[in-house]
Amino acid sequence: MRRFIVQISLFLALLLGLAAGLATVCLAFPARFLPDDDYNMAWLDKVRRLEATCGAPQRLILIGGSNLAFSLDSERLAREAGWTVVNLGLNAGLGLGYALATAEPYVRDGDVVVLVPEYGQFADWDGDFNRIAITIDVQKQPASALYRRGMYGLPDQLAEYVKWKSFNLFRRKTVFTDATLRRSGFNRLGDYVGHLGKPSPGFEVARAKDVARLDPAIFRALSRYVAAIKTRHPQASFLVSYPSFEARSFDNQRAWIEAVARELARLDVDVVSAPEDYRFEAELFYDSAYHLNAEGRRLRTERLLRDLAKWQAGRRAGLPADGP
Amino acid sequence: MLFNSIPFLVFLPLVFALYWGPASKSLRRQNLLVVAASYVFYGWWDWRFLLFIAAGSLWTYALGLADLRGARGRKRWVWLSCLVNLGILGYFKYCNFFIDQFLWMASRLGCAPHAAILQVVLPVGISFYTFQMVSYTIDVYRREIEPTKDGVAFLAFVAYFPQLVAGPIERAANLLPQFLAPRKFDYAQAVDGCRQMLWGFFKKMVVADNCAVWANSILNAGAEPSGGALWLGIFFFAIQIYGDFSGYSDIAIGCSRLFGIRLMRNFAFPYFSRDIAEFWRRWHISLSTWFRDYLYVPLGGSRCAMPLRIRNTFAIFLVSGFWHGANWTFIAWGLVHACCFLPLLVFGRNRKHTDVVAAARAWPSPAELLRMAGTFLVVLLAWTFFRAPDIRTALDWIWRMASGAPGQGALLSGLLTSVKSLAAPGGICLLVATEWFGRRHAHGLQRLPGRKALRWAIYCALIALIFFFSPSQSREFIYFQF
Repeated sequence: MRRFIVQISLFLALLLGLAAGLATVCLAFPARFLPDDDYNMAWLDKVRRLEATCGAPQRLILIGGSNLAFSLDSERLAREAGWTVVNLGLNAGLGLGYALATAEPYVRDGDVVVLVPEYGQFADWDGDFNRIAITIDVQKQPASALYRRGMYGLPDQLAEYVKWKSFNLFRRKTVFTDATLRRSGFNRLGDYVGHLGKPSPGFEVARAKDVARLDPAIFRALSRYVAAIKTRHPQASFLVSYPSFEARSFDNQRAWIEAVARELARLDVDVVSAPEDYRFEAELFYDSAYHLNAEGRRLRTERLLRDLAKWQAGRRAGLPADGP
Repeated sequence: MLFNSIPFLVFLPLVFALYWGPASKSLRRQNLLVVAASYVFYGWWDWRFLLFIAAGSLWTYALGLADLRGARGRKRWVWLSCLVNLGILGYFKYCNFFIDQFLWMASRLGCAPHAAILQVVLPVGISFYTFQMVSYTIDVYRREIEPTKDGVAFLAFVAYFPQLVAGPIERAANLLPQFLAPRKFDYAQAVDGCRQMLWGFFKKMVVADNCAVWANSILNAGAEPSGGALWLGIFFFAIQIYGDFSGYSDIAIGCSRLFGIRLMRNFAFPYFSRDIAEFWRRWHISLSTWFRDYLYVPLGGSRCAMPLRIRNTFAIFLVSGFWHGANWTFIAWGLVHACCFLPLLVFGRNRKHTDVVAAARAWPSPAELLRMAGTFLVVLLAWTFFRAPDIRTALDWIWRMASGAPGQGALLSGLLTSVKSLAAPGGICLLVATEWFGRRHAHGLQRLPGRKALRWAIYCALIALIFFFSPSQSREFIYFQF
């Protein structure tokens, strides 16, 4: 028995050593293979804009995944309602927790933070390995930055990250997500416009989700996040709107969406939209059930403008938000 | 709890340490630990499943004790025990199937009865442990084993976690005595068990899970796949189901050896078979021998006139198909195998190949190679029924496969997008080569080089392959649904 324990321990120590060595190499050396024009490189521009607009009057910070990047016309929001818009939407794989943690140091009094996460993000606060790659390879920050932003989900993400990086170590140039998407496809406010006017390559309809997988801890974390920022910046406002979602996908996930809406309504935030208002027909979508084409984007922006105007009017009159 | 999950990585060493540590002082403690660990393992899916396994075990155990007291009407007791156990299995597995068939027949007769389809959740592994309990009852009835008085050992026999959810379906005569006798730790057994587990994980996580990507992309595609693409899809499915199920069996058997308990062999390199009869001596051995002993032999087996032998053969193949699930496709799968087995039976050639192929040689002869290829082709054809959602689709697929239209280039180039997409073909090559050279042994990794450094390098390489090439979303084992 002792012999077995010793042999197994030695073998596991060898394995752990190899794994730790590989992980260290991956974390210590930012990838050289990512082209500057990679889609996820746009995160740098988004964070830079977030930093540069600190203190700007009537600032609107949009936090969510790629539904915000593809399906919103921030220029129109700026033009018609006078907002200084920062669209942080890039990739739901980053995780809502990571996007919120990134925005936290830059929120100021007077800012309006609109949370528009994809519905799936309410099952997975941590996101996937993208957040490690964004930190190490895009932002070229040390691994300690990961620790500062919370340890949630790190072991799983680290394994996926090491796999991804190891497979690409010997490649000259590769892309993060989709080769057809580019950093240069974003406008200065953070909207992706590279897909506008292109025909849809088709997309998968989202399948039903088991409501039991909805994670109540995410709503508690959101609540703590809002409370913490409001303690420091009482004049900051937090709103919730909903992502654009393709009709059949919406119907498949209706129970899930209703459960999300019920939970969000309990938070200390103003819910300015109803999920149903952002349910669009399939012909308005581009390459995913969350990514609208030009016409869809126009309709979605109009609806958000209307919701925000209603909220502002209510606030001026000293009334609570109507809610959905 | 899945074998290929993080909780199992914590669970197994913990149970191992308790089993050979504090619990090793008494047999009863070890058995109690096995029961507790098995119930945790099983309850991980849904704690309500525990009610069925516990109630079924206690019922079977109690009837065994009744037999021990020489109760009159033994035959009645055995029927009652089997009917209750098989009735529960039938309710969960086949209820909706029979409702469907009833509605269909009624509609054909011009009636429109109203019957609700039940929302029944099939408890994981119920087919496996039910068969194990039934075998105990019948063996006790036949006086092949003594009914046990040790309730804890009996609960451990039914719920033993390595083989609980997907077999091998153990016989009381093999497994129960092992729970009644003291166990000693055996270094060689434990090391070989670890190797077998490693090989099982490779088969499941590298070969089966990556083949599943290919098979599903082709066979679940919305567009109608061409004949060539279907051949490829069914080929990948054949490897997927073998890697998945034999991988599970290897993990189960290897894991069990860590606890000093030997489980029966479930796969013996079936794709190297030279005819269908040999295939069935090598594929899912625990199920085919179960049906042989508890269905084929009682029906008269092969010691009766040819028409009855044919009837008996069809009976076990059809029941075996139906055991897999409540769908006509599984019955058709059994029927195809029965039809291919029939000529061998009629001409008395069904026991021609009982040895290992090319036993004394490194490579097969051209005739053996042809026979293996022919058998594999027949097996592929049968898998088409097994994999298709319904009979109509299966026949359509076979029609297209026979038409021989070339593969869909766009579909294949879509699949071959990265280094990772080569995991399935690469994994298959490694699997076939390893199992070919290990075909005289119990599993692919049983014979390894004598030098420790080389052995450890092989283990590390396999673990690296599993880490790098297993899909990020771990998949359940296919046979859990049966």
